[in-house]
Amino acid sequence: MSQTHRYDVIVIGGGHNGLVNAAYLARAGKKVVVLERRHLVGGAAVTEEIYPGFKFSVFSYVVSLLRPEVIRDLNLPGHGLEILPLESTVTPMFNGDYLAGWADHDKTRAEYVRHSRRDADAYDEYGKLMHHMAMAVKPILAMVPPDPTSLAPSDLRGLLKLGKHFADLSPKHFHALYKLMTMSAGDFLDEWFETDVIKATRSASGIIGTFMGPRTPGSAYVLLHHYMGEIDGAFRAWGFAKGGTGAISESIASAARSFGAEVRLEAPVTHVIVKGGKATGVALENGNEYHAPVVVTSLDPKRTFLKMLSPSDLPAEFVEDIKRYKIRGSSGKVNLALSGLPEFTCLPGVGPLHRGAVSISPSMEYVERAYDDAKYGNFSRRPYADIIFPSVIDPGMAPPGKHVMSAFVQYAPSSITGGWDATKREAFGDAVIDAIATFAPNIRDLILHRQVLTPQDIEDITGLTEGNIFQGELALHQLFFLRPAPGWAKFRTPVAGLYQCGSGTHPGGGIMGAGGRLAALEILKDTGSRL
Amino acid sequence: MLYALAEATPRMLKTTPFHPRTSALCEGQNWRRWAGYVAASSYDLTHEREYFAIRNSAALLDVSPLYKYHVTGPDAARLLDRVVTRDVGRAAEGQVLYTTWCDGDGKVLDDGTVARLGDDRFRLTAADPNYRWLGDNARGLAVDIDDVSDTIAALALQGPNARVILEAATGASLAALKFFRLTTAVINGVPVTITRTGYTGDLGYEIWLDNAGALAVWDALMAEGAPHGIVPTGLLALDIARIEAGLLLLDVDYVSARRALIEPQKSTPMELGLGWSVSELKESFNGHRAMRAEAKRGAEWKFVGIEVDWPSLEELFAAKGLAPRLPAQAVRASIPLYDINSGEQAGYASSTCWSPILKRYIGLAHLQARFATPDTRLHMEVTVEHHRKRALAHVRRLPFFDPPRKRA
Amino acid sequence: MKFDVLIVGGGVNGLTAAAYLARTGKRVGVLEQQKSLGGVCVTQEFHPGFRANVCVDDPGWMPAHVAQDLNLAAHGYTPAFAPVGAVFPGQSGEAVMLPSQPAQAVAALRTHAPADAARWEAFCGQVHRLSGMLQALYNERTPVIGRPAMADLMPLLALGRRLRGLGKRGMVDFLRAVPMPVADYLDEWFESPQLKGALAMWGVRDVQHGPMSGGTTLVYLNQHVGIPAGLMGGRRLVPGGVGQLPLALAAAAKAAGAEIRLNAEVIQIVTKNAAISGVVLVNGEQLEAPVVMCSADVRRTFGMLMEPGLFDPDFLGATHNVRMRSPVVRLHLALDGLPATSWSREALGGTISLAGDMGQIEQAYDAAKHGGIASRPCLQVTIPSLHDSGMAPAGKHVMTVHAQFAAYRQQGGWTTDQQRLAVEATLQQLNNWMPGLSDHVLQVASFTPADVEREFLVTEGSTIHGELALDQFLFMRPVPECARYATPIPGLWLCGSSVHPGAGTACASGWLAAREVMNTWKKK
Repeated sequence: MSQTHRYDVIVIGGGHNGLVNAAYLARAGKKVVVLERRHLVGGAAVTEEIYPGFKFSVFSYVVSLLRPEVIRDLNLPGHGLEILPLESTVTPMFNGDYLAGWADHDKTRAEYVRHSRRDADAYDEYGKLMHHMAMAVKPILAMVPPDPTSLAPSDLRGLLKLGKHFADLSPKHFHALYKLMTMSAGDFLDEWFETDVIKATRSASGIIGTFMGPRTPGSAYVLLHHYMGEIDGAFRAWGFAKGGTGAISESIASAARSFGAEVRLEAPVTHVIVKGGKATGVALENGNEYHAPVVVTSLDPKRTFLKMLSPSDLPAEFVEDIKRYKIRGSSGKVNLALSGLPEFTCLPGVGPLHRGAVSISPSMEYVERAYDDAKYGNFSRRPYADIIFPSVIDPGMAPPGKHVMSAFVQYAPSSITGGWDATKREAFGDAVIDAIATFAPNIRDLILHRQVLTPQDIEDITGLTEGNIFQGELALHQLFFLRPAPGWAKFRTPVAGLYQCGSGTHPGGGIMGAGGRLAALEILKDTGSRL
Repeated sequence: MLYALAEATPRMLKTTPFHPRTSALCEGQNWRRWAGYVAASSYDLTHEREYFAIRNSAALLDVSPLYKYHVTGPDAARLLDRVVTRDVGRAAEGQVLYTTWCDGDGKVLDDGTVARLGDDRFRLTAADPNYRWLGDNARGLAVDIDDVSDTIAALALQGPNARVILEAATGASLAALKFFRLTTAVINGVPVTITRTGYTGDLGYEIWLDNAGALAVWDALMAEGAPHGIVPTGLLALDIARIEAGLLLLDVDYVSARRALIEPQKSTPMELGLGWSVSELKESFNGHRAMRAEAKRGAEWKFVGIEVDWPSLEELFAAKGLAPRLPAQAVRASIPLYDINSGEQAGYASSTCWSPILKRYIGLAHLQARFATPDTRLHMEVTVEHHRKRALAHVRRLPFFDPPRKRA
Repeated sequence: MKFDVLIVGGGVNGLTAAAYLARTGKRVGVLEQQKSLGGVCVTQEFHPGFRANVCVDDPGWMPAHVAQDLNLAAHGYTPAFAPVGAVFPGQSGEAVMLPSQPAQAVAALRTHAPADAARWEAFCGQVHRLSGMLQALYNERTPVIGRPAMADLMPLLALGRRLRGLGKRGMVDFLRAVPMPVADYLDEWFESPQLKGALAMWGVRDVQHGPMSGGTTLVYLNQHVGIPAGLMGGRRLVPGGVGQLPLALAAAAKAAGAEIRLNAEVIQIVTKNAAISGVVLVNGEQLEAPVVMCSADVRRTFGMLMEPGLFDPDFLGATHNVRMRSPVVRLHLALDGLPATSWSREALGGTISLAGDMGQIEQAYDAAKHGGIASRPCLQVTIPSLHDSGMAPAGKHVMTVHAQFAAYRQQGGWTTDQQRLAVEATLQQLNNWMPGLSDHVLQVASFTPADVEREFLVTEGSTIHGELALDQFLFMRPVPECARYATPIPGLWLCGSSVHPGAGTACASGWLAAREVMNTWKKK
């Protein structure tokens, strides 16, 4: 027998943005329910014990940019959040050497000097420029994007504010920001550095989650992400959550519950109920209905608008815009249970490199060729990988003496020729192990269990369309007022009462929790409530 | 497998070629970082004896962490003239110039010395890395830039007895070596370059040599210096001496335009009291347009000495039943200075210390030009028993301490 | 010798500037290093009786009034649009033609790709609207961002109105399209891989980017500025060859009193007291002038013609970083006739796009991206002799092939082996398309980027004086400090294709730069 439930707000999806959104709304006194399809909260930010004793941050693996105001506002440390530092990035090279970036500036400089004195000097100035760029971008990320094609007073005000912001930047900084927004990471880095491996490792951070290579215009923008955390005064913004990434989701869920929100697991929503052009609730697979004047979706735009709504509920032009919204997945994940730590030939033994990230990005050409494979519908034969060993930082992640390893891998195109199947998945997993074994030959002997996740797996498990971790590609024509569709970049949708709060809307993926928070503020504005 | 630090992992910080000696002498293991090296703060448990060695006998300082560049080739002088504010082309062989250098807007990037080792051979010393900047300026020039920071060792021998010790160690007379000139010599079989320069405002020399000869030179100087009261000296003592001498320090008294995050953090040579170092003869060099314009207009800020009025300080402490208490070390924190009448902020002191030889509380300060006339009365913020107070202070000419022996 | 203005380079922009400035009565000298004028806009005999448009097939769009002001028609420049734009082989090798008449193009497409035929007119309409937007931008000096002075405000407002005139959706289309990869843009419109491949070539023309690179839609729109609606891939035909344009401009400049010197290579632009004083020629001769306009590319101007000590090193570094990297190899074939082919003469008269699908273009680009030469280059072929009998002896033909991609920076440099590799790969592609062609070849003249650099003194062989990309466009072109023609040195102006609008336009940079110089005179 179907049941009906009434709330002020229904949030579809218990990923971090959905949970943040719910927590803020509940904190403001709303009666909120979060409906999560799976048996645990987190979406792509989950920790699961895939093999007994071995816990994996299955998908998302580092705390990149969880907004500090979210941590403070929701008192997440009070709900169990503890972030441990990731200290370094080491890139093994084909010639047996390596490039390291350590937590200490002098040590990193000495390391860069080893490769190029010129680049060692450039490194400091580059860091300063990025600091300024992050400062320049931050207010844009925090604002509701005004629509430059609109004549509405609020948009004009927003544009004016934006114009003033740009006018306040020094010309030098404005031009640098413009270049960052439009150039390829490779071209941008060519202007700064001469050492190939330095460019390769830095540009790798410009391709994460995108369907771009380091030489694709537009990839330079993503370089900024590494610097976004620093300006919040958060020392070492990159870190690893104790207990895995799922611990972040659990802490947000706990905070949301503490404000009175309900979080329902195994409650898959099939569609949004629309009556008279207004969202009035959602229907579940089991036939149950939830009713509320406000429905918030944290799902990606394609899933929400093409699967949970009928085309007749939406303007045809909007449906077209959503259909052509690009959401190709490009990344996969390999999680290993290990009997010990692999030894990298460039830095033998077990050392500080295991406490940080190991980047398989030995040269620009290597990374670019990895992309080339994906362009034509194949997974990279020699993939880029970003590796961490969570059990070194947080021993609770594996049985004593044993370890877990997480490898984030590109490229694994969602649109692989002929589609993904078990054979391709394992071949992809083999390619990843081969790539790592090039630099750490003994890894093969240490593998107890191997979990390989393709974009198809990511979609099947988390529901992210095409397995795209940013809920839509971060390309210039899909950012800001164009994300996810022109005219609908302000968390609202063509259906009254239906809001979006996922990474598929401004400011986009990789900025954890911002969408959930900003959407909550907009909803409160619309419903005449205050935080 | 237990997690253990492997031997193969890279070392944290660099040590200078004198480290085997300096580390043995460093009683309190009191080290600090300097340009990626470990450098002794003081060898004794306090730096007092080291300071007095600078002023009364002789102090031996390891200054190897300085950045050093060899600039050679037909266009070497052209490159340096493009970069620095002083007139390198007109410098004589064997001359050493103290100079600043600026970005295209005339804001100071760094300061250091240029030594003309030969017609087309120069050594530039710097507080910050400048390899890339020199390279960027060398476009189109026939010049080699060699970063010798890690291969050339340097010692400073400073104090009234510096000359006798060095003459004994080299077996040569240094009477003819004038202030800011250089010569070559051999110490204990090691060829060295000696410049009559230093960072103490006293009679002193700096000795430059290849790393390999470092210990032989150190040992010879210590042996010859023993009868003359030589004392291995660390950076804490040096910091006081250089404030007395009115010498500024990058990152403490000014921020390099390269690292400044906002415009007001940057300085021009004039604002640092170094307007004299800007050549009036050279046609073009980095930032010359801005510097010329400023010279016409006058600088907005001045770099001056500041002396805290002792009775005023005593009064503030006495009100709490205390005698004045000052930190034994030089203070590198910025301290606000106020107009004595309106109370508005006139500027700030960037380095302050108790001068043991002058028995005065002195500092180096940035003041808006209208407050910078010598003897202007100002207020300086002092913290007395957890309370912020304002003490009377006077603007003074620099340097505070300038003995005739420095140049004689 | 004393001049009021000296102009470095006798290309179309330099000559345009010279003509406008000479009309004010000033003494203007133009210094061209070659024995003939035109720079890269040149038509030369490469085999007895055979003439070719060496570097460019079309001089490009020019502001409408320039032709009138300078009376170019009377001086022999009479361009007309080719009746057929892009032509490409269909599924079975047949010619698919895109003539300017939409009905004809739709008919041609209907057999090839019915779904695409239905969208053709709407597509042409949008491209025309969006490239019209660019044209409006190209008629004025670039807007600058920041605190606009009143003088900048009016054109900006006019621009805003024009932008708004597109309507809300049109504005979104423009802002959305410009940064897009042309592959994504074309995917939104069409299904036929051949059609998309053929059109995509205009999105990557002269730039080292594949159709999957962001910003290539801008290149596509730029290629269509001033082209009549519907003439996708269309080009201007110039009787006598593209080299007629510089000749006409030179005639106009001379008529206005400008002095033009050939074989006069400038080796240095000199200053006195940090302001321009004149130039030095390769033979040591010194010419004086208080104003020098340089039409050489930005990297040559600041990297080779000026004393570096005059500039802020950061500025010099920025000019050095301007991306040039021409990926183009051009072949000119002297043919004793055309082989038998099913393609009509009309089809052969279009711009023939031999590209395959967009993936194949991307693959050709990959080769250059990694520092090599595409083994299967993508070609745009023209046969100028079909339109202009003066280009080849009677009954014979000239075929010009614009082939991409080959990296300027070859690993190991451009050797004769590399050149042979590039030429052979291109001829192979031609033969695949038109079997038997090789039997008719009398002579092949080839130009790699290195050849163009050496012969025409353009850095990295870039005929457009700097890659057209979003970060080298408008106020960013070539570097922000020079985007409005003035430079940090008083008296030195840039007037070549390195400056807005440049890249694929004709005369516009030269005219706008001349106007800026004239404005400074007015102020005095």
